[in-house]
Amino acid sequence: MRADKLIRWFLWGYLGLVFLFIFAPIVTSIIFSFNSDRFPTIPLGSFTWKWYQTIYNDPDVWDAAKTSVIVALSTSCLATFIGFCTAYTDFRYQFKGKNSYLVLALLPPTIPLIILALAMLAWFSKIGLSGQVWSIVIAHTVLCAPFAMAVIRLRLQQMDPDLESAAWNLGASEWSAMRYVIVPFAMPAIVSSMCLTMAVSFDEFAVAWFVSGLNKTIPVIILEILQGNIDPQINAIGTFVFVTSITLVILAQLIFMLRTPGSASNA
Amino acid sequence: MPSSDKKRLDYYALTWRLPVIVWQVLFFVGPLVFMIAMSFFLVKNYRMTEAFEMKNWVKMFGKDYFWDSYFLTLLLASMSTIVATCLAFPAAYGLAFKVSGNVRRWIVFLLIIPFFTSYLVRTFSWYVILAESGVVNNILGVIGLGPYTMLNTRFGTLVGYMTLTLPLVVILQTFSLANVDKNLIEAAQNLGASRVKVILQVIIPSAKVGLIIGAVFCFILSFGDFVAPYYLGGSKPPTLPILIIDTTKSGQQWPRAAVVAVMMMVTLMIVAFTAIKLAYSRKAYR
Amino acid sequence: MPESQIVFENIIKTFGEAVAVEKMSFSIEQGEFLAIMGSSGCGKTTTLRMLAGLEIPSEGEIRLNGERINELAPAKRNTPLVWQSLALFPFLTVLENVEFGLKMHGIEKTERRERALKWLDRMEIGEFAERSIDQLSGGQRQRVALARALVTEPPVLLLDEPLSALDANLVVRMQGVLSKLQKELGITFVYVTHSQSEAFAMADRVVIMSKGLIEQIGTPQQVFREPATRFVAEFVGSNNIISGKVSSKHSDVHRTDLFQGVPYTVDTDLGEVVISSGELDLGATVELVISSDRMDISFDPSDLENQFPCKLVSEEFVGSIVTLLVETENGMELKIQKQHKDIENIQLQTGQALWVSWERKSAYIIPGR
Repeated sequence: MRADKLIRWFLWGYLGLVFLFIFAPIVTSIIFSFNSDRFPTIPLGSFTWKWYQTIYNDPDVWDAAKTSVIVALSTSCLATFIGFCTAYTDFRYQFKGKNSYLVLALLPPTIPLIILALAMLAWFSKIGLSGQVWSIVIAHTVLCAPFAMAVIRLRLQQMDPDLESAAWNLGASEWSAMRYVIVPFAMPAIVSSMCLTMAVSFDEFAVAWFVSGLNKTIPVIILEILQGNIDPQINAIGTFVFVTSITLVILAQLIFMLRTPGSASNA
Repeated sequence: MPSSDKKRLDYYALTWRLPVIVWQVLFFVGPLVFMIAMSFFLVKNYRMTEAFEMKNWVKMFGKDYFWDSYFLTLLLASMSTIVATCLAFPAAYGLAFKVSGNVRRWIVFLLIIPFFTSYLVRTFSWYVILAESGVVNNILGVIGLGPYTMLNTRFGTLVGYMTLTLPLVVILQTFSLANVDKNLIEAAQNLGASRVKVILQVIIPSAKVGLIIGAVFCFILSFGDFVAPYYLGGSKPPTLPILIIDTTKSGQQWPRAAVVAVMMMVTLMIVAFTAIKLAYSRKAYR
Repeated sequence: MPESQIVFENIIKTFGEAVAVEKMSFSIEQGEFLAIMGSSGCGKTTTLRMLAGLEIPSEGEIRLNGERINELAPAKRNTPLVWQSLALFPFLTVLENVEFGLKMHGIEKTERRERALKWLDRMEIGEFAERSIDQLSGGQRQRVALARALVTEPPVLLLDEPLSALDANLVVRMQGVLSKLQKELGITFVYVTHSQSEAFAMADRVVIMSKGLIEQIGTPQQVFREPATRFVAEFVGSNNIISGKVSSKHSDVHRTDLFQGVPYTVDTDLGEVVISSGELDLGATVELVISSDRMDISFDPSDLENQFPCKLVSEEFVGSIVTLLVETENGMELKIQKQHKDIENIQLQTGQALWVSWERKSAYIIPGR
């Protein structure tokens, strides 16, 4: 039918526009990170590495990168651990109040970051934890644990529910079954979850800005540049963050996909 | 260990169950509850003292600028929700019904990429693209149009909101549309329903829950975002998130910022509750 | 006399409101091949899981070698289970799967490798030791599961519908493997299945369960020929079950075969039926169970007792067996099974008028409730 074809073309064209909108700012920032002009205008100036050199030589950026890496690594471990515990509990146990339990575990993403930022800021100063690297780690773990839980829960869903019982039946204690059966089975998801939460933490600015004190992370540096003297090194940092995050995400995706098919079922 | 004593608590079960409870109580529920309490504290000589006074509430509710901000934020977030929902639908429709599962997975993967690029940097890029001497006006200038002022307008704010929310809304809509029973659609077509009728009377009602969840997330994200209204919208008047930042960062008035935050939470709860009611209402769609 | 190896005493198992097993008592002898049969949801798998320690009985006592094991952790029982899903560990190789139980029992590496390889060879899958599970066929996985369960040399092996995922011809082969294995090892097999042919082919004794209750325990022969309840009669074999009321003691004494019991007349929907049985009360309800291979057909009436006119509804061939479905004048359907070679000379047509009959001693009598 002609109409069908027309609609199909329209939808593809429309999808193209949506992608143009979504990727325009990403591409723009990458392009301008190599543009020599001080002010980002068209037509472009010449190609330059200048902005990358600027951030490379800026000790503040290095400090922030170090903080970001520490925060991202710690967050990914903590959030993945908590997410794993929650996912396993949901997978294995039925208990009274389980719904409330899951709501408690999964609620954070529905609270606007700015509210969490204020609440964390106040709470940390109340309990004497403000302005430390750990404050950011804790806050980011709250934000990331639900994602870790979701990723690992999906993996456990693919497991033959008899597998754990089979381990007990063959003489494994609960702890051994966890170590030799559940963890190996969930491993791809655990690694994926670590990559994903690292990427989320590496990008988060609102809460980090509020609770970081003097320990700025990379996104906080970006925010401060944005508030003050805007110059194209923001694009260079942005491109750097983008490449880091996307590497982590693709890694996560690959690990999850590579390990999934063979071990999905043993029926 | 066996399934029958699932209810019995032992060290093993507690080891897995407790971490999230302890963590969330300490670092999620704790902060939120403390923030609510803080909205009743007093600030004297730039120092916060614990108290239980309605002063902050009375003060904020008495200020016009609070209500201006409140209704502006509500308006902008609602506009964002409507625009994102409408813009996303054709794309999600195409992804759900007109492409194969494999292509869909790849496109959804591409849609996830923006979540891992700095939203701040993307916003800054829009600043570059939309400026008086920016990319868009340059292109329009070639064909003799413009320049148009796009920054520091509601349009600018909405562009920022879309940057934040559109990929998510497209993904959520795609999933809910892809789950609509294809037999239902074919049955409707067999009965002679036109394309538009099929969409309005079969597809949308069947995918209602997912569509509304997408809209709710869009609302929450827009309502809580300070970057777009600040850098692209010009912040005149400020939205509630900007108000929180200003009150916290420059004024040291944490309790008043808490009042704003609590008002935001209450508003979001009402919105989410209404939306869920709407999503699960059994009323026939006409 | 020493107690049986496994004893279930008044076992009750409930899940919330639902009763899975209701007051069950039976015992299993050392070295016995016991099949537990029933349709899905009858409690047979729950029974097996209680034996493995994966469920704890709500009431009653389970004893293994005279010791109460109700709450004993599954890891401490050495009652390995061959799972319906096989539950092989997908992230381990074949060899590692088989070694798993030995590893959990703390046996050091070289010994457990040796023992595992020995069992793989015994199951004729030694060449696959280093393969991963998803590279094996269904039958090979089955053997891995068996080797994994048997490698610790347990006193009891539990099997939960282990053959249900296999092709029909493979099932028959695995039945042979299992029977042989059980005889060679001399250990107890407890085998849960819904398949009558599997149970009857291998088991020494069969437990028939329905809705959490044991309907009958006996040898396959007993269960087949002397079903204790209507449920068993319907469940096993291919029986015709006719309800009726005992109307009179038969007067025709000279035809009484004293070894066959006393002749009675029973009023059924078909009409008067003559049976021979032990003492029955006049007026009592009874179920007559007549195995379909004990019914006869003919074209013309003769002077046989228990002969009724009917119409052929359908014929069905399975292998060398022909199942005829006939309908009597009052609408009751009866099944008749014949060897194909016995009736291949007769021309049968659907709708044809026939006479169905059976000898009085062919009806097995279940007293009504």
